[in-house]
Amino acid sequence: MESSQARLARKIFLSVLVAATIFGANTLYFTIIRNMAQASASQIEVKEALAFSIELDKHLFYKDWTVALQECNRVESEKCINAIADLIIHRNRTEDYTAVLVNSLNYGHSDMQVNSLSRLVNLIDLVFKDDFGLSLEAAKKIGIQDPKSYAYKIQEINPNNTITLRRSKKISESSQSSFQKLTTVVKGLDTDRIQYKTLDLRSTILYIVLVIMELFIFFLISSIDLWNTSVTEGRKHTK
Amino acid sequence: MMRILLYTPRGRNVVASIIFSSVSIVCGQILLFQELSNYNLSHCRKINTQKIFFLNQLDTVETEGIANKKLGVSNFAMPDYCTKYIRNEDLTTIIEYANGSNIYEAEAIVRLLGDSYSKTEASSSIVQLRLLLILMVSNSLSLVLLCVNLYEDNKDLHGS
Repeated sequence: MESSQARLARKIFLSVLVAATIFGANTLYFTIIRNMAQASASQIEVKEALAFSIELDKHLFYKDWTVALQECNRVESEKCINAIADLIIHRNRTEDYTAVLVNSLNYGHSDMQVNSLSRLVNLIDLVFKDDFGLSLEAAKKIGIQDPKSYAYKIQEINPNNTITLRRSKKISESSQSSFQKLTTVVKGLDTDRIQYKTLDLRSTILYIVLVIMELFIFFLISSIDLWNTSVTEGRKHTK
Repeated sequence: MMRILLYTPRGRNVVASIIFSSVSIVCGQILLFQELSNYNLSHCRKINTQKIFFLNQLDTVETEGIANKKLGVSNFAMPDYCTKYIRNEDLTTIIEYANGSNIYEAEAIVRLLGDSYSKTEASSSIVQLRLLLILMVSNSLSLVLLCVNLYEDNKDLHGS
């Protein structure tokens, strides 16, 4: 017949097996939740930055370009050079946003947000190529590095100052439309933050369960060790 | 049982070995928890770094015109779970700036946040280093005590 000590040892052994199974299942669940939290975090990082950036751009670039570019019948004027610089930055930032949407937020090229941004980039390219008479690509090839040099080059190409900016109104319209589309991307940011927080909390709870299980297993095994030692040592002393 | 364990050398070694092992386990768990926390901190840092990147792109833009314009405060606020990584001494200044921030105040906020996150990360690294050291020492001590018992067992098996 099984002694009470042997029964206790068997119970401890079975408890260790049960705890180890719970620990294993919990580890799997914990890993899945952590991966979900990491994916959610990446989305938030991009959207947070985008929200911040378009808030700044709203005041700097999503403006009335007809007014900003009206001085460009005199390309060499300081106001026109500033407007050219702003337009180039606006173009580059729009291109950056396209890359962010496609590469980080998994938008497709056919999505309306990406489409709208691409149309704006193409429109600005057309303004430089047709209205100013020198595309940005061509300017880059001939070594033009800044808006001032670009303005002087335009003046050189076009000494009679016959620049007519036919597309400035279109830029304003396209900018506004892109801005509206971009704001739809960052609209769900609050929900994303709550989702991340929930996932993080869930993973913390799972982690605590893991800790408890590990300690439980450790103390059960230690108790067997202590018990065995006390029995062996007790026998030695009674001999 | 406790008497035998505490009054015999072998028993004392087992008890001490278990204590050191539990210290190692607890240190390991704290370290893993810190790692989870570090992930959140690096997430908050990334958000801020991207904001700095977008702000830096504006360095050549004429911003005088919008200097006094109030920007949407909600877009400058970091997620609430990032607040715990901001040092208290920076938090007051950040809150002051955040009340109706314009572009220059926004710049100040993101830079202050960047500094604060870096400092928090640095102090967390120091704690982690100490914990790692404690873990290594307690682990080694536990193994040494185990080794003493194994040596005793060996002597019992083969005679001294």
